[in-house]
Amino acid sequence: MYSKEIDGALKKIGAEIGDRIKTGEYEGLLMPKIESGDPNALVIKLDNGYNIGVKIDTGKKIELVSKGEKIGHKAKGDSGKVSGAISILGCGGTITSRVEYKTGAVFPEFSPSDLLSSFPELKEFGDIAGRKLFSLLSEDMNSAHWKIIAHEVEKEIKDGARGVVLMHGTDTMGYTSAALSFMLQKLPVPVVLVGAQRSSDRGSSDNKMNLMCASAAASSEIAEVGLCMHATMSDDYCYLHRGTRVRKMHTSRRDAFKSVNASPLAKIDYSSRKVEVLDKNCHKRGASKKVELRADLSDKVALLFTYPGIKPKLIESYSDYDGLVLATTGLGNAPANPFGDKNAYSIIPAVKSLVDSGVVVVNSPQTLYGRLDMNIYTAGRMLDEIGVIGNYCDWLPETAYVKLMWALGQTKDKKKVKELMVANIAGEISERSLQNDSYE
Amino acid sequence: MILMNKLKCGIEIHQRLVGRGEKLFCSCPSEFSEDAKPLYEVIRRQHTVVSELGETDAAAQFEALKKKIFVYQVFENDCAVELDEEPPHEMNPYALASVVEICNQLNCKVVDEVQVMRKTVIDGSNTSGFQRTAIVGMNGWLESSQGRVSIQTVCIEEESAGIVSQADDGSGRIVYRLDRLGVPLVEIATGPEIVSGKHCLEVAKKVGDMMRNAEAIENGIASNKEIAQRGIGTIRQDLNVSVEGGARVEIKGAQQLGLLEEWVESEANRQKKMLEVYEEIVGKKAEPASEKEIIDLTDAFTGTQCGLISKGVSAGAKVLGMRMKHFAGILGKEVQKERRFGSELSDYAKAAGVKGIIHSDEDLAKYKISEGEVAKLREKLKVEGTDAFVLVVEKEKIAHEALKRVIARAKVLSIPGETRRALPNGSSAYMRPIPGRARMYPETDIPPALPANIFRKGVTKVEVRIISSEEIKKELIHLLKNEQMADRILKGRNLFMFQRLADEFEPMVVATTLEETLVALRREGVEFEEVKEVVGSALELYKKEKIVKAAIPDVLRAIAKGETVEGAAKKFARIKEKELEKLAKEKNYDVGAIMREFRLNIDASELQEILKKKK
Repeated sequence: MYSKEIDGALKKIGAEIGDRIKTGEYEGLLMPKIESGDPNALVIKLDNGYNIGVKIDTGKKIELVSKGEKIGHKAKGDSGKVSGAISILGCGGTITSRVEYKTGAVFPEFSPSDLLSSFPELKEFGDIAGRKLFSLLSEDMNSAHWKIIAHEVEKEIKDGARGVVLMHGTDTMGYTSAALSFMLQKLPVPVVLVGAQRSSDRGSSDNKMNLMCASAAASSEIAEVGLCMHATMSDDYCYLHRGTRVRKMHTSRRDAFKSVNASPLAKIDYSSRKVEVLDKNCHKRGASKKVELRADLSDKVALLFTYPGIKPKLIESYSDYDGLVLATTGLGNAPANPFGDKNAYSIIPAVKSLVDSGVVVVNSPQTLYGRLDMNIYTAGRMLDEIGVIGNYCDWLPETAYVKLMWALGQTKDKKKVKELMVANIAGEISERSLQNDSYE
Repeated sequence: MILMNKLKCGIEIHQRLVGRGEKLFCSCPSEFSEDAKPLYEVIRRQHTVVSELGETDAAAQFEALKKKIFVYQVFENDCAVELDEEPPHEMNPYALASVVEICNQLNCKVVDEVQVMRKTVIDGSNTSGFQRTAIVGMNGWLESSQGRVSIQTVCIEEESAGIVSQADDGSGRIVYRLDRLGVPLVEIATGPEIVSGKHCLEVAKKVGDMMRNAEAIENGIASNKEIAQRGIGTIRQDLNVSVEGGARVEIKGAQQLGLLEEWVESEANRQKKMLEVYEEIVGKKAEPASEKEIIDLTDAFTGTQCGLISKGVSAGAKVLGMRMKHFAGILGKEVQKERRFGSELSDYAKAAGVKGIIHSDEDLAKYKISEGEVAKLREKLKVEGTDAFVLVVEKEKIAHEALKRVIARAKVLSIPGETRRALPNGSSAYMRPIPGRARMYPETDIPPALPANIFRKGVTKVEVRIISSEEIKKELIHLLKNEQMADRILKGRNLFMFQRLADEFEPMVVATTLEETLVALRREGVEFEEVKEVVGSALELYKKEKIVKAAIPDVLRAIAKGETVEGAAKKFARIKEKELEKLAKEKNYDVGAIMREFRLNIDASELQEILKKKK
């Protein structure tokens, strides 16, 4: 944003972004100030394509040379018949964003016709339909958005979509994929979330390969909620991860998403578009006729890391919630001070009073990899005894959190909630820890 | 007679900067060794993206049309930033300070706010698909023998990845090394006031010397640290040449200063020669075949002796050919050293994916194409009298596209604006059309930098002192008393290291160690991580008379192989004074025998003294 002084000076001469202006020896197109930089420096695009910042001190004149074209991005409308098509729904994020090249401003916009013009190869997958649900950065999404998505996906499937692709921001894509895994049951067709770690303006963006592989997955036999992203740093193949087992494990790398305590569902080769099924027990296309929508969620659930020095007061502050997921240390332990050390204290009483007051407290491993076992150490045993559930579960804390929201949305009966929680609903818990799970 | 067409030339000089040892947008080392081995490889593809104008850039699209697989070799001096797996960090302030000083030296006005741009590159030389570049200064000038030459822009940029290999097997595999990617670079672009090859060389040298002799001064104290990297590849030039009636042609990769003059003159000459060729084409009413007249000639080569054709055909290629009416003699016309008009057409065909063309102005016997086959060809193509023909051997689709491009190029009767590659013989070859202008948009991941306030709290102020080459040479001759060695030091990569070491040790010993001993050791494959420290400690041993001069190479070799300095000193310990007297006596004062056996342990002049005393 420009300073008030500059804004005023520009208004006075009637100059807007995109107009040709002149100040001192510099002449070029007036550019907007994007977030950073000195608010008193005008950004001018010179004729050689470069931008420079020119400091406007008092008395320095700005002249309007000529009016320019209005800068902006025009999104095209929705299109496509859904029946028999791959339906691509836009939820926002880097993968749906377009750069307005003159200014570098990012528009979270997309339409199916934009998509087809950017990626004509999509036609390989037959008819493509699509529309925008909303344009959000994924960190702004919550259970309200998950509900919208679940309803819209159900609609696409009922309208005859052959598969659904959801373009989504990557930050919380793992949460959404877990939520949809519980909300959309008995899927007759694939539902695939996809994102991009590199912006779409660059030739090196991972958006194309991810979208192509996701479309291949949506055309495949795997009728589950999956998440399709780069498997390695190379542009060679993607993994389709099970929605409840996948986690963003890196801030920036292309292969940020990993299946935890599980094998990916499939490997999708970029050049051949071949889908190699890795989990033979996955739910198959057509195995069920009708999708079952169970979209109710409770938003009175919290997720809390335990850590050295965590205060009982913090635990007590969750008494207003219906559910709390603890991401505990090691095999499922939290400060319990069983040896009565003078410098240590226990959070067990605080957790117990939450449980006793009716809050469903669930355990999950902050190590992410491995399985809980609350029978090995005293602290775990104490948590188990006071009614914290989740023993022997190998779920992700985020998945346990989403599942608890969902379970509390399904029934008010706390006993039934607990039963739902420890039952395997969407591949989020397994009985066996296999050596070939992708622990690295 | 042809009038001397007026030559106009501008030069772009790219110089790698030290940046206090770090890359431009991450903290990886900016120095790297060409001999380093890659740690692993990453494979990437790139696709065209809609550009600023809503259409993909012609040059970018052109490259993308050729399906390519980029293999990136990752080295120890790379991190996730070079791999395009992590956003760039803030701009290296030392590199920016160096460029600001270069701007000052070139009388440029430094901008208030440096805005980093993304310049689209889709040849794979940058993992991101663009190069980060920013204007630091503009509108400067420098004095030259032919008057002022304007400096249009001075930019700070990231260096591209270095190309290792390019497969010609149709796989589209291009291998790049990432150690070079991200090294700070200054780009200086002059206006078109350069009037000759000689003048171009003068300007390049003047700007180059200014940067390479610049020393960083930190907090007012000379640091003895250069701002510009030295050695092969650290400076390179691109040229913009045109003659009256011609067009602006960009010559990339004009790296050797010694050839600069020739590249400029030879391009000017090429444009003149091409205009002559066009005159001949018009005069003779020469005309290439139409696309429809391209014929499959594979049958004419059944059982051919021509390896190129027989191998190609057995791998599924076809021989396509066409007539070039009245082109006989024109295709063979020399337009540049070792390059004919046919070579120009061939370059365009190559861009379609063929290895080259065969044309009738060539000696066809060298391809082992028989006279009988030529006769068959001429008949099929209806080639008569002054007609010529062109053949390509490739998979049908590519071959057809290649000939289409030959036709299109042969029809152009003006000098096309092109980007050409500088060839080592002083000529150049067509690379691609001149890139469009609209290839840039803002890099929003990096905040703008303020030249007036480069350094944040806690970082020292950096200025740059520029010393002239003459001044440095005078000082070197004074120290070394040897003009030849002074020249070698001045032009080589060791100038600053020499200056640091010559403060402490005998200058001539330092010079020979750096320029001769180290070169010989490197040839053996001996490498040092901390050259200055290792050389310093060997020279220290020599200075303290713990070893003799002749042992310096062996001591260096031993240290490189993991020996400690003390260990190496013991191994090659100098025999001197009483011990030497004793040894001389034992060996009956036989100088030859003693030196043969103890060359690495005895100082010859000391031995001579002992002999003198004895006599």
